[in-house]
Amino acid sequence: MEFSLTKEQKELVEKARAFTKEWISPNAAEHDRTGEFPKAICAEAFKQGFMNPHIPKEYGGLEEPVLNHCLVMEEIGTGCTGIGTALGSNGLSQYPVIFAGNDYQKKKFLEPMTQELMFSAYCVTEPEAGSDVSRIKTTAEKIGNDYVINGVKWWITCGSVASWYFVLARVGDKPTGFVVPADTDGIVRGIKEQNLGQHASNTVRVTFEDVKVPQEYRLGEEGDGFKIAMKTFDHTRPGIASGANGITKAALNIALTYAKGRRSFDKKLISNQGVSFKLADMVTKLDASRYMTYLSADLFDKGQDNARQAAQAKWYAGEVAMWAAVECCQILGGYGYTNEMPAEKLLRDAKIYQIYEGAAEIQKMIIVAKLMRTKEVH
Amino acid sequence: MISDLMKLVDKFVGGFKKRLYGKTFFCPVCHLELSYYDVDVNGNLVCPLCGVVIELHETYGHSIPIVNDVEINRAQPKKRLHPLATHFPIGLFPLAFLGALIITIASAYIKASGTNSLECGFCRDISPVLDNITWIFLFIAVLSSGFTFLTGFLDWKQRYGGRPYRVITLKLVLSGLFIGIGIVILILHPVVFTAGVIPFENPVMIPVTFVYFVLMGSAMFMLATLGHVGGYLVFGK
Repeated sequence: MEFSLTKEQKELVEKARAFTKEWISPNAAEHDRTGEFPKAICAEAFKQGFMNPHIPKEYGGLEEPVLNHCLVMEEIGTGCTGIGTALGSNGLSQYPVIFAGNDYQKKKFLEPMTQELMFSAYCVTEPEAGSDVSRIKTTAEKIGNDYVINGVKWWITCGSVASWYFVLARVGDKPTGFVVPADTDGIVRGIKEQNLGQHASNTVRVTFEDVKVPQEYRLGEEGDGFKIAMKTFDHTRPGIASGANGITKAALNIALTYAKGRRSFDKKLISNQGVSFKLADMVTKLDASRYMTYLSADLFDKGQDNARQAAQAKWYAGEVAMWAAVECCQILGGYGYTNEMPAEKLLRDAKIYQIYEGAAEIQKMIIVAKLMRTKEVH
Repeated sequence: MISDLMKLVDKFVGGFKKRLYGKTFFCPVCHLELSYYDVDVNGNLVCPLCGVVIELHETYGHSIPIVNDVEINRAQPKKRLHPLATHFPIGLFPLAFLGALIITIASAYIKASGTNSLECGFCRDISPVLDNITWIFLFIAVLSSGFTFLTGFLDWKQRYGGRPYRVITLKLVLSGLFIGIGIVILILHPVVFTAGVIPFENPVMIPVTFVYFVLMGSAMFMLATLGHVGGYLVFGK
């Protein structure tokens, strides 16, 4: 068992931390206030190699292990998870192509993303189908050598800036995955949703009206879609958990800095046990959450089943992030409630980690499903 | 079209601000945007607007301004001369700019219609009057800007303790430039507008008029910036 990072990983973390301090944290409040998509920051991230790290080497990518991606996302999440989501969400739509795409599809859709700044989006959620993906209503009707897609996809991250979409649609009763170029006739992108937090992230509705897709753009076989969509999460959940860990780390650092600087009752705030114990809880939970995340990523990188560990990490990191953001606001008192301090933004940004990429309750269902197949836990 | 223009202006202003202020943060009490350059060697800063004493910390690139004190008994300016004086140049200079513009249009019209044309009678009659009014407005605006500078400087010394805030440095520099450019405009004005019209028959007058309006435009820009920054310093965000 080895708990330390390699020299390369330490360098990667340093690089990501420097990028976060220079590019993300100072611009976080501005993007949160305006809701402007952080294209310039993504361009810089692309230049520094923080985008699309998982694309295989033969298609021009870096093929970084998931653990490395987690290390980077944790640093970026400490600056702003809204911006982190904007520059990290490509992975969610790229993984289905990496898993289930053929050589032609990978060359066509993944390779260009390593050459210039581009975005892609994962179109699965629908107004009536969130956690229960099997309820999707979007249809893909086979006509000749093409499929014609009709349906509405909702809460699509990077939906209005994407160059292509991964779309889950039903062919008859078989959920099937497609890659659909965004400039195809019949695609209507909605306006940006006004969400509670992560304002820098672009979340829109995407409507498919008689969108014709050639069968070469189908991923795997008809009926493979659900499996592809779900397997993607084993890969992406450690990264999501890392974003949540970033929030916890930001909450801890902000609360610690404030508690060490603010005077109250003629002593530093941190001298009060009521405050200092909260900080002790925060750092302990952060470490626990972090190790769970790293373990789930490491298992995936070693080619082992990480479904339970990824679900545990995602669930726990989300819970800890939300709790830490609340405690950070509490330690800052009134200043935790004003939008001129970074604490209240953490609170708004943290909530989504208990919801997207499978709500906390779904993660527990996955964990229990795995336990049911286990005779005893060692 | 308008939104594109606004984006361009925002980009220009943003670039200028970034160069001048460097990294900024907001006072958590009055929301005034402050520069890291405003912080003293001990990491402290007194907010020029609300007077709280801020201890500035930073973690992971996030600014954490911690308030541990407040300047309750800060010196208040006597009779508030600076806010009163500042409205003379801000009010009169744009009117002078407008007057000069109207005279220029009238001069161009006289030139186009022929010097002796009867149609130009009104223009020829009204232009010298307007020219006199314009010059008086210009004169008062430039003169009062000197007084405004002086009262502002005293305010800075008394109310703000002479602390080198970037926003006040900007005001001082722009005010000085405005006075300098204003004096040049005052000297140039009688050369450009001879007997109330621009003698466009003389080919030299076209570049001279151009220079005059470039200076007027620059002064207008400085005045607008000064007014905006000054208002921001008084009322906050």
